[in-house]
Amino acid sequence: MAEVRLEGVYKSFGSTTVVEDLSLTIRDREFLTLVGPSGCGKSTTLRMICGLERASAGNIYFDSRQVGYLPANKRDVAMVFQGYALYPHKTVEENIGFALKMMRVPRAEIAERVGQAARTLGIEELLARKPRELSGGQRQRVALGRAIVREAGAYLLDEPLSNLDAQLRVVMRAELKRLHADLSRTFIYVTHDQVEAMTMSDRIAVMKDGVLQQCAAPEEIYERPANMFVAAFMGSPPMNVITGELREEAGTVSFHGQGIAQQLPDTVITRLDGAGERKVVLGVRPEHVMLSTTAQPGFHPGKVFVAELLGADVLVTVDVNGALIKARVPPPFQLGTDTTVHIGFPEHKLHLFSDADGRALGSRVAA
Amino acid sequence: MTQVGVPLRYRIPWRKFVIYLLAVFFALFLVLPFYWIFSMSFKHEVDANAVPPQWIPMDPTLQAYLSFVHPDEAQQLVGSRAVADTPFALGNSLVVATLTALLNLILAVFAAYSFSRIRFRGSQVLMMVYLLTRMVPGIAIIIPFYLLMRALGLLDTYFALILSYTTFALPVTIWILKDFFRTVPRELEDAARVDRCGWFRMMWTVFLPISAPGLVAAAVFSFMTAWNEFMFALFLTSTRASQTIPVIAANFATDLNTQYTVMAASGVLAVLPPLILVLIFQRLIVQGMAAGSVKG
Repeated sequence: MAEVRLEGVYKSFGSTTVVEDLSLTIRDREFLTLVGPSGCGKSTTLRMICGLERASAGNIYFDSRQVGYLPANKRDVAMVFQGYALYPHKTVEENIGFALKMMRVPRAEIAERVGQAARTLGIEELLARKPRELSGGQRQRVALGRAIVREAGAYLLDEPLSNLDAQLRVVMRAELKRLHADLSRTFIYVTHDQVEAMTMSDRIAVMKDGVLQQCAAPEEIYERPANMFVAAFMGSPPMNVITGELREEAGTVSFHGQGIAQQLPDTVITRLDGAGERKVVLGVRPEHVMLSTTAQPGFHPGKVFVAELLGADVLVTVDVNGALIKARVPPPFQLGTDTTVHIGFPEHKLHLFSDADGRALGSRVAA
Repeated sequence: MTQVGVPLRYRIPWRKFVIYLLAVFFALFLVLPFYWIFSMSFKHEVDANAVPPQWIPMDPTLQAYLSFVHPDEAQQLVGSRAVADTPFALGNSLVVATLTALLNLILAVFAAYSFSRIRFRGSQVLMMVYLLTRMVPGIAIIIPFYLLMRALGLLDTYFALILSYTTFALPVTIWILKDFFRTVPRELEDAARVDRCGWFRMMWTVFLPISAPGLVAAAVFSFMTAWNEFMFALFLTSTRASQTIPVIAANFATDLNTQYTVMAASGVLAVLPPLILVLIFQRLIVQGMAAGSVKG
């Protein structure tokens, strides 16, 4: 078990910088997810922690020990690869026990630990098979088995679910979370899927273009995104954003943009004092948008652009003076296209971002 | 009006017909000579060139084969050296070809791994230079080779042959392996590293076993190169200590009395080892060659 600490880590390949000044502490026994769009440097970060890639600058520590100079085989880590990377010429049993064999663990103990890992993952009956005789889900389990059979300081998972079909992914997501709870070890998980990040992690580190955007618990990321990128990336469908400006009249602050005028709560005034930001972006998540068939104070009239049934919810896109606002409402939704509806934004669920650099202005307007 | 019961005109597939006919001719072209010496090796000398030819020996005998072990008095008398030398030559060829294949493989694995995994300036050019050495005709370098081997005191030894053949086979071996190694996913190497393997351990326990088809194809190629080679063997060897089967086969033609059946028998023996090798590893060889060509 170990705490993994990165201090001012950089990584460049030639003239391209892939990871920039990354400082991040992954706590002992924590499930931390590195999430971001492809090319954001999350996999490279994982490979640097693993020792498969050397940091161009900065230090990496496992507990108090500096490991930056150690190759992968000298670091105490286990890893699950995106393509599983099972040894095709070895049986499942040999695949899982391979690291232990390399560490010269006695044969009897290897057999016992492999058996235990197989039981945990429900693949006991597959031990004699070769990887090519397994389905995708089974291979995935073997790859996991190869990691959990070790007693490593940290378990690194590089998009382990991305090759599975959607249904299996949901199953494995839950199993992974359960596995982490049972094993109580440090997990570092890389994914580009914000749902995986949300559902499984203790904390999420959102990356973009090699730069860490925010590292916090899932609720925090969701409720108080540090900037517009995090706000838009986390959450599906993404947050509605409206560009505009703030106006201050007679002690009240309101937002005006794209034909929408929105009164802001008083608390926002204190937050904005001194910031001097007037060009802003207003954000509101689809599930917080209120929809009404009748005009109500503070609501904005619009027309139904399209309604999509998601199953548990209906995603209604409303055209408000040319701005397309998505609202997530419970079914049934019977109104046809171009019907007039009224949408409202609850004051306490609004986000404000600087139009200049996207950073959150007092994250949620009224926290 | 529709016509019922009129069969479609059967079209003769001329194209197919011609292709198959050519294929059959080509197969005969390859197989017949070998069949001829095979059948001749079981004949009595008098029947060897009988007219009309006997395609199947009327009175099969193992006499030709036995004469390698016990040359009869007549053969010893007229000095059929080639007959007596054949068993030694087969042994020499086996040793030389096997060691050439092994040495080649060991050297080529390191080179091919570097070519396939490490991006370094001039790697393509270097590979071309290696392959270009194969464009030089053997006759152009045989004299320097001879002088070199004489200076090293290696004339008429296995070393002279193994070293020469390795220089022939190595560029192509590297090329075959390089293409094969590129098909091995890098993730597997990473996995082995994480599973506590150093580089050599990773190669031995993961990378090379996975590359078995490529390794076998490369080994068979270098074995064949050494097995078939004639000119260098002729120059660099002089006695039973190192003469290989192609040299001895040539001696048959120059011996004072030429016995067709014995010559045929030695031909059959000379073909057997590579044939057995290829039959055993057939599946792997095809995989190895195909991997290189598809992914190259």
